[in-house]
Formats: sequence, structure tokens, C-alpha cells
Amino acid sequence: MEDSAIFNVQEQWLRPLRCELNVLSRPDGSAMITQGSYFILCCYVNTFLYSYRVHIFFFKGNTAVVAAVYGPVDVKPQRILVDKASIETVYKPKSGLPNVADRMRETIIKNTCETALLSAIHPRTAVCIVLQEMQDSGGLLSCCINAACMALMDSGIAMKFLVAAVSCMISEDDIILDPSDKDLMGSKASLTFVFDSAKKNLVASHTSGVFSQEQYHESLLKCRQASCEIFEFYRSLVKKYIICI
Amino acid sequence: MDAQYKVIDPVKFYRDHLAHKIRPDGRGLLKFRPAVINVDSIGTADGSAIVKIGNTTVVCGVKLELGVPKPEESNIGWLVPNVTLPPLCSPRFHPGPPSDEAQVASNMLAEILSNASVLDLRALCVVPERLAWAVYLDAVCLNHDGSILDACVVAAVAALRTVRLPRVEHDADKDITKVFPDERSSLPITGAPIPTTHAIFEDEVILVDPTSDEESLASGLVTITVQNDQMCSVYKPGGSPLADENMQACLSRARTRAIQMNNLIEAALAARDKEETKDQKLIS
Amino acid sequence: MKESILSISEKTFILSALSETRRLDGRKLDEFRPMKIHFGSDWGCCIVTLGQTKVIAQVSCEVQQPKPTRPNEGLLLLFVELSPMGAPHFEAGRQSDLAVQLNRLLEKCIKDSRCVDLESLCITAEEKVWAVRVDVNILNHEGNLVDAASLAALTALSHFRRPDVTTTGEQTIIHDPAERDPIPITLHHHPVCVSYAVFDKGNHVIADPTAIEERVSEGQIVFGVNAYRELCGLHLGGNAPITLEMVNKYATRAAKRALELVTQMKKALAEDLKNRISGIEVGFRDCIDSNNRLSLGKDNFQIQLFTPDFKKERAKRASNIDVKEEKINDEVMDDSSEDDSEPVIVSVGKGSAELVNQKKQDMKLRRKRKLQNDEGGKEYDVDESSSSEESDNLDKESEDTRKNGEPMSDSEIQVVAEYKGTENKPNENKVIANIELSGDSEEEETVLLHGEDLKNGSTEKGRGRCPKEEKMEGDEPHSRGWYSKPTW
Repeated sequence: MEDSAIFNVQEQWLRPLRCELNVLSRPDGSAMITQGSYFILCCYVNTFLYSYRVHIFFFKGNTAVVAAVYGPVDVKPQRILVDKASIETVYKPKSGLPNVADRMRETIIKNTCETALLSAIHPRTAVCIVLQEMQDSGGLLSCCINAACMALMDSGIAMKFLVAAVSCMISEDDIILDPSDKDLMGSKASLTFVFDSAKKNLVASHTSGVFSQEQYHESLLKCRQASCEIFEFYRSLVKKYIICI
Repeated sequence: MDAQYKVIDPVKFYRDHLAHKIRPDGRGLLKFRPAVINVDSIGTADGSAIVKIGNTTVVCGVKLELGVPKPEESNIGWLVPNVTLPPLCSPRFHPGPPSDEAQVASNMLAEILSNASVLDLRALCVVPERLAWAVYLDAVCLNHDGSILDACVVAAVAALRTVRLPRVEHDADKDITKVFPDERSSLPITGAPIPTTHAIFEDEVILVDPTSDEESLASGLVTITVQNDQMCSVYKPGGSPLADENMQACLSRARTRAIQMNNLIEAALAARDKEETKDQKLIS
Repeated sequence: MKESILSISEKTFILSALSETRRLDGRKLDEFRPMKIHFGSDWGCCIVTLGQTKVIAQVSCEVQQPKPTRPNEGLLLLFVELSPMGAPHFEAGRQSDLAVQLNRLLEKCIKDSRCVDLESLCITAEEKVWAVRVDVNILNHEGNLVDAASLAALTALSHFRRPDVTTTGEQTIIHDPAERDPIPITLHHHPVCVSYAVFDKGNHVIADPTAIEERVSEGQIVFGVNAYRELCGLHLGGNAPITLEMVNKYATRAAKRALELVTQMKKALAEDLKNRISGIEVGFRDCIDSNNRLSLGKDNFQIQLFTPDFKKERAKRASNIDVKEEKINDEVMDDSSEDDSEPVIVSVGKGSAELVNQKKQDMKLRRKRKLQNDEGGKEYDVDESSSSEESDNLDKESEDTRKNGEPMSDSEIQVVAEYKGTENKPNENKVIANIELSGDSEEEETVLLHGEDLKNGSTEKGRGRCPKEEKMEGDEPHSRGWYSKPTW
């Protein structure tokens, strides 16, 4: 007897997000998020008699970040801007001193948040965003940006739009969304995109590895589609928290 | 008149210019500044190059040193790129520890070189666990007038192309290292990544190869690095959101630009080789 | 940013409360805040929570050349970093006095007590040794950073595994963790810091001071103690005169506390190891409580009322429950202490209005709920069921009511009715009077929702799962009233 097994693989877009707002008592807004842990592979198995669905759970690492926001607060004289708030970002790796790569991460987060914030309504002040790495299992930069966005949301500061970061990787021939560090071992290139919630345009992009223009475009489209999932997550988060604001 | 106008309201000054599809320095929106490359410019360095894009000037020197490899990775050497933005290049910078901009530029340079796998680090290992070359790549900016990364990467690649590695012998038993400075071979450099910087002005207009004034007024920057028609970095650190068609246009432009710059590097190297052979002929 | 100024009234309040042996958060003078440990999925990574104080530690290692004076010993480096995340006045990348002090205290406690077997970290004498580095980052500073940081460092060290190494003549091979199981670090004993704050020239000594108590205190005593009751460090700070008797007395108490902490740490470590072996996912996922909804609630105000009678009763009833549940009960008790005829409603510093409001809201909410329910109560039914579906941890009671087809709010209303009935009248009157005084109807409207949600949150969150609950409800009918009451 031959069983015909058709695997209708329905892979989840992203690793599940988990977030708690206001985890820290001192900052004005804070968010702790973990991205990952597992993803579900949903298979439809058609045997001779039955058709049933199987869920397979894969352990996919767990990237965790905590973000805190102070602001608007008083600003150091050398950093004062007369027409808008100055944005300061501090990124802390969990071991060792921050290196140049961390400094670049800081710059990307800073510029991204600056684009999203309505800094012009708080001139001569500073908004301070602090990020602490807790666990890096792939997609640390996108996790940081999402955490920073949620912390800004929690602090209640005025924003033009929200931002969502999605990372993906290009393996030999296909594109895998939100790869874990284990996936990244076999990657040709890894890309991180940040989209705005208004028009879903590209706010920031950071890549490593080599890829073609077509692959870049394809990944961009795929990640944009996946970013909706994160915006949906923000929406559910706000829904959940709005009743206690 | 122009100068006063620029001081009083730089944004309006630019807006007026861009409305006529021309930039204050006379370029069109999508025109590059002239680029100049000179290789082997510094006699005391193991390899060097000077790149000038418009007024932006970067000198890159390479220094070679022998070291003991790390026990974790015992069969590779080091490539240590560094970008220095001294106070002399722009009034924005102050003496002291490297500014954030310099650190980000250093990291970008390192990322681009490793993404494009310009240099195989295993080629730098002389004796595993014992001896390996460290290649220090120092890019110093002499004049900062925008698109600093473009100039740095081109200078770094051109300088690496001029490096000649001396032959080394190592006697493990007696722990003696012998270096032959006269017997040199060039480094196995593959490819040349070429970055192209675009500035987004007031969320709409895209300028290519911005000057430092344009960079400071821009609402966003995009740097795309291309090697052999393949992308090795698309770097957009925030700034105004960019629609897909604009992004695609930037990518295509970067590809064309890469071919031109590649030819420029080759031409500079060919010119040097020609000179050298001429000199040798004269000596003989 | 500058540190906010401590007002004189805050200071005098804390001091006068202390003179009546009371503390802002309702703890006894020698009571510690509950401590929790979470592990990351990397080796040697943990978060320690002490009350609201949060600290993350990560251990890393690399091969280095040993010191010429100790050629066959590995290196242990301890770093405490204060980033602005912990408190606004901390600056990134600058060693403040506090950071230096913390670093030194930790070095005294962990490094100088020689609890880490450094000789086992030697690979080849005079050439290669392991340098173990412990990075402690402060996430939230709510006082007593020393205790939290020392415990985090110690826990991370005991959790850490270094890669295995083999030396074959000339070659040193560092094995990948996948290739050979990594090796834990040998610890001879487990020293932790236990700190006390001294007030009023040594007349009052409190354990585990909060941030505000630390700022008011005259001096501090920090003991480094291990589980064998051995002293591994002593630090006396500030300008309070501290007598020898005091040091002796509190050293004994500190030793007791150290034993508790180390036991809890070992338990957590064992559990983590068990999870890892059995393939259950490990990581920081668990330290996120996605049902916790405090966004913008700014419910950071920790003031609680203290009634000795209730504490005793609690101790009698709940002698065998663990720290976490103890805290819950604690708060419940404190809420209910309003029953007592002398209501000490205290308001200090920021957020005081919040707390008072919350209590008012509750009363008002209950009344409003009842009203709404009389009218049909549809609104609440919808609300209740939708939010309860989100949570997996429905407490039994609510599940039962749902099975019976009764709307959940009905049962809650009964509780309310009881609550109103049993709670003493004069107090209630007083609170209601306050509501009317504090006026603004719009504000009340918003807070109403807040309270209601918190109420959901607190039952959903699984506090209701506390094994004591049913018993308590059975024992004392009026206890339900304050049990379902939000505590934060």
C-alpha cells in the first residue's frame, strides 16, 4: 500500500514576537522583547484513508532585547538643537565594551527613530534611547529597532509613523525570512529592512554578503509583506494596553 | 549675492536650485564629480593610494606587520581597516577620540571589504599558529566634502592592489624568522567593491554623489556598494522613506558607476606599471 | 541628565516612618525583596531581579597570557556597567564613582575570596590561560545594586561553561561546543553580598534598601558572605557610627540571607540544567510576562500599608509558600489593612495621587459595575470574555462560571457585594468623600478603565493560581474582596 503524502508546507512568516511594555520602573518608556524560540511547520498529510494536519515545532533560537526611552529631557549644551529635539542612542552589548559595529548599529537605530519621531515639537530637548542586548540568536538589529519602536510607543512621545524591521537571508537559491543564527551559518547574504507604517516605504536597510539586484528587490518585497505582521503585532499590543492608559 | 543667500537660508537656496534641476556647483542632479586616483603615492608605506572625488580627498596607506595568530583561529592573518577623520578635514571634527562618524565609516569599510571578500585572510598566514601577516589599512581624510565612504573604499582597494608582500622564512625549532624585503609578491586581491552615495533631499529629490553641504541638508543617505555587478552592501541608516522605484533606480545607477570606477582604478595601476617598466629600462 | 533632587519632605517622611519601624513598601526592617533568576540560552547569561531592581550578567572567556607573577593561574575580570537604562543620571561610557565602588565590592566578594578555582583555568603554564570576564549591566536601579550585581555575577559564573581544550605537544586545540561538551568553572564556595542601610546614627538598620532609602541613609553595611557563614568581605560606607555589636548582629543575619540566596540560586541552576537536558527551550522568553499590562499606568509607586496583625496571620497561614507567592499575599494583606480603624493613607513624591485614585476607582468601579449589571451588563460580558480568551491561565473560578453559562461579571459582582458589605463603613465613607473632592470627572473616567483592566490582569496573570487562593476564599468570605483587588 502506498501512502501519498503531500506536504503543504505553510511556514510562518516570522519567528513569534513576545513583548512586555513598561518592564523597567525608572525610564519613561521601556519594552522587553524576544523574537523567536520556535516556528511552526504545518503539514497536511494525506494518507490512503485520512487527511490530517501535523504541527512540527522547530527550535529556532531566541533573540532578546530590552529598550528604554527617556524623553523629552534636558540636553547637554554641546548637543542642543534649536529647531528640534536631539536624539541620543546608547547600545550596550551584553559582554565587553561597545565596538565599531555596535556604534554603527547605534547610528542606524538613531537615524531610524529620528525619522519616526516628531522631534520638531520638542526643540532644545533630548530624547534618549537605550538598548541592551540580552540574547543574540540572529536578527539582532531588527529586534533592536522593533524594541526601540515599542519603547517609544510606551513612552507616549509623538511619532510620525511606527517602524518595523524585518531581516531575511539569501541562501543558495531562496529567501528565508527572519533567520536564526543557526540558519545564518549557511547564508550567502543577510539583509535587514525597516519599513514605515504609513506607506510601507523603505526607511533603513543594512546588508551583509553578496547578492544581485533582483534578489535584493525580491527580498525587499517579501520583507515588506512580513512587516505587516509586525505592524499587526503593534496594533494588538496597543489594543491590549490602551485600556489602561 | 549667491553666498549671502546660501548663508541666510541654505534650505531655500538648495530648493531653488533643485527646482531648476541643477546643483549649486553646476552639476545636474544625477551627475558625479570628477574623480582622480593616484597609486603608490607614499614611498615609505607598503602600499598606498590617494583618491580625490571633487574636493573630497582621502589618502590610504598600508602597513604590514608580522604577528602570532589567535589560538582560536590559527590559520588566518588580519586585515585591520581604519578611517581617520582628523580636525583638519572639516570644522565639524575635534581632536580627541574618533568621532561616531569615523567609527561608523571604519566599520562600513571593514564590512564592505569582508562582504566583497577582497582579500582571503588565509593567504596572510605564514606558519599556522606561529606567524601571520597583519595588514593595517589606514584611510585618512584630508578634505571632507561629502561621499566620504566612496572615496575611502576606492582608496583602500587601490592601496591593497599596490601592496607587495615580502617573502618570509620561519624556523620553528630555533624560532627564527627571516624576512626578505627584496623578494616581494603582490597580495591576492579579488575584485573591487565600489560604493555610490545618494542623498535624498526633502523626501523627494535624489542627488548623486552629494557634497558635505548637501549631506548636512539631506533628509536621508543611501550608500550602495557594487562589485562585479553584484551588490555587496546596501546601507541606508534611516532617513526619509524611499519608494521602490527610486531604490531600483539608485541600484542601477550604482552598477553603472561601479564599472566606470573600476576602469579608473585599472587605468591608474596600468599607468604606474608603465612608468615602472620605463624606469627599469632606463636603469638597464 | 542630572539626578532628580531628593526633597526634604521625602526625607523626613522616610525617617519618621522608620522611627515607627515602617517602610515605604510595607516591608519589615529586616525583610528582603523577593529575588528571581532567569537564564538566557547562552551559557553564563542570567537576569537577576530583586524587587524592581534588574541586573543582567554575562560571562565570556578567551585565551590569554597569564601574569608573570602567577604563571599557572587563569584570570578573572569583573566589570559593572551603569548605562542610562538603569537610571537617568547614569552616563554611558564613563566610570562614575558608584560604578567604581560596585566594581570594587564585587571584586572583594568574588575575586578576593578566591571562590573561583583559577588554577583549573590554566592551559599551559606561563603561556596560555583562560581569562574569564564577567560583565554586569544594570537594567533598572531601584536600590541595592550590590546584592543584585553580586548574585548575578555569581550565578552567571556558576552557569557558565567554557570550551574544552586539549594540548598535544606544541598544538593547542580549542574544541567547538558542538564537538565536545563545554566544561563548567569550578567554584569552591558561593559568596554573595548582603547590604544594610543605617539611619539615625545607627538606631535603625534596614535590610535591602530601595533607591530612595539609599539616598536618605546615613551609611551602609555590605557583607560578603558565603553559604558556609564565612565572611568574604565587609564594607562600611557613609558617616554613621557603626558599633562592633551591630556588625556582629547583622553579620549573623546576613549569613542567613546568603544561605537562602545560594539555595535559591542552586535550585534555579538545577532547573535550568534539567530543562536543557530534556530539550525544553531555554531563554529569556519566560521573563516576559505578556499579560502584564502596566503601560503608562506608571504604577511604580511602591507605597504599601503595614499592619503587624495581618503579617502574623499571613505567616501562620502561609508558612510553606515560596517567595513569589509570599509577595503576592503580602500585597493583598496590605491592601486589606484598610480594614483597620486607623487608615494611614500616605502620599509621598510622585505618583501618590495615583495610588489613592486606584483605591477610589475600585470602590467607584464596583458601584458602577453593579449599576451596569442591573441594566444588563452586556458591555462587561463582552469585555471579560474577550480578554479572558487571550489568556491561557484562566483561574478555575472564572472557568467554572463560564461553563455554567453565567456571565463572569455576575460572579464578580457578588464578590463586590460582599466586599462592600464586610469592609468597614467609616473607611469607605472617607474614600468616597475623597473622590468627590478630587473632582474632575473626565479623569475618573479614564482611570476607571485602568482599574478594571488591572483587575482582569491580576486574575489572568495567574496570581489566582496561587495555591492559597481557594483556601483563603473558603476560610474567610470577606477575603475575596481584597483578593480580587488589583495590587499593581
